[in-house]
Amino acid sequence: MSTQPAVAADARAETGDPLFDEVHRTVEEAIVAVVGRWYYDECQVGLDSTFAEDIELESMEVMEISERLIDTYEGRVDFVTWFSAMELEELVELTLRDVVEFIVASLRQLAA
Amino acid sequence: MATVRANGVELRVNRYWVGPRDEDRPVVVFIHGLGIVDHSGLSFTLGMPLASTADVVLYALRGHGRSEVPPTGYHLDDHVADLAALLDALAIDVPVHLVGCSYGGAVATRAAMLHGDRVGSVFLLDPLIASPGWTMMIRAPMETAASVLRRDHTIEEVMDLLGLTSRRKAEAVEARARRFLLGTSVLDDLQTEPDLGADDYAAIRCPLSAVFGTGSMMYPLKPLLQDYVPHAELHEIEGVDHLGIFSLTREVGQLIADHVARHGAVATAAPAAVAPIAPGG
Repeated sequence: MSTQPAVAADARAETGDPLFDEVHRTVEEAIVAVVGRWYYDECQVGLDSTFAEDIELESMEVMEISERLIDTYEGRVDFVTWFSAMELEELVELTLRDVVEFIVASLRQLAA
Repeated sequence: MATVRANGVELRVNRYWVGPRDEDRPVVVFIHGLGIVDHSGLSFTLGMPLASTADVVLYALRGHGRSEVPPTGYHLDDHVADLAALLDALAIDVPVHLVGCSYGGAVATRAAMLHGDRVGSVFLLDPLIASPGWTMMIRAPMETAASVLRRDHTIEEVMDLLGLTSRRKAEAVEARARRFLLGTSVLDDLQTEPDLGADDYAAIRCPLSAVFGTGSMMYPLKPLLQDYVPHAELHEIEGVDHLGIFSLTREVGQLIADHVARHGAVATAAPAAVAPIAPGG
């Protein structure tokens, strides 16, 4: 994913980083709220799962998940500008990791 | 996302605005096509990219997406009444710039006929043009889908019919299609839709632009639109079909941004690379 304007190399985080893990949990909860726990577990969703192909979400489900995240991080994470800069192919290939990294980087930049 | 009650129906609405709130911006309202779609795809690909220069509104038509599915009220003028009521509910009292996609193009042009004071301009993306017998083009595939849903069928048939590889998506689409096609008056309403013609289109005074894919089933409607609306500025994209044109998000997005910049006094966005598009008409 090349379109991560707020994700500087030194702002990247990984599993084990408390903020990364917390954001990961929040993103998971948003997905589970839309697709249900049973389906989420059945898909064996991981950080590198794509929303479109691996989790097989419809665009209206992706929309619902993004709205939940927009509400959760209102005023701190600019999802709309981030999505705006993406090519269609990037949207299709969007992974959980992309979203978590973007949120973490946005929160870190805000705190800096 | 908000749910807004308009014309007696709960409509799901998204509104995007990036940047300072203390400036005047044109209001751009996207209207999606008819069927099993809603506005969510358009939100990501065309709506959000406009949000740094415009106040962008997208909503799911009645019977679509997460909007309410009333059993009746699927004539073109019902959708136009919903749109007018939605603008009232959102307290939008300036002329808006409508972006009508596919069937949404017919809604946008009809809104420009009936509510000329509320429509600042119209941009049509591979639109359906309301004209004598105009609903046949969309009724036929919808009747086919309805006939499959009425008889015993497997989910694999639905997957084949829609070109889907995901069983889960096919089940979701089938549920929505069953609710919409078999649970509402949409097919009857399409069949009894009044014809529109040159006299109706003469009421359109606002700027109107459109882009057609030359490989689209809508492309033969381009000269008709030019006849009906002589001041229309028409474009075409070579070799692109009806679905394909919605994938050309950069090119189409730039055309919409240019249109709104010209007719809505919006600051022009940084120009992006635009594929060659032959002005038509």
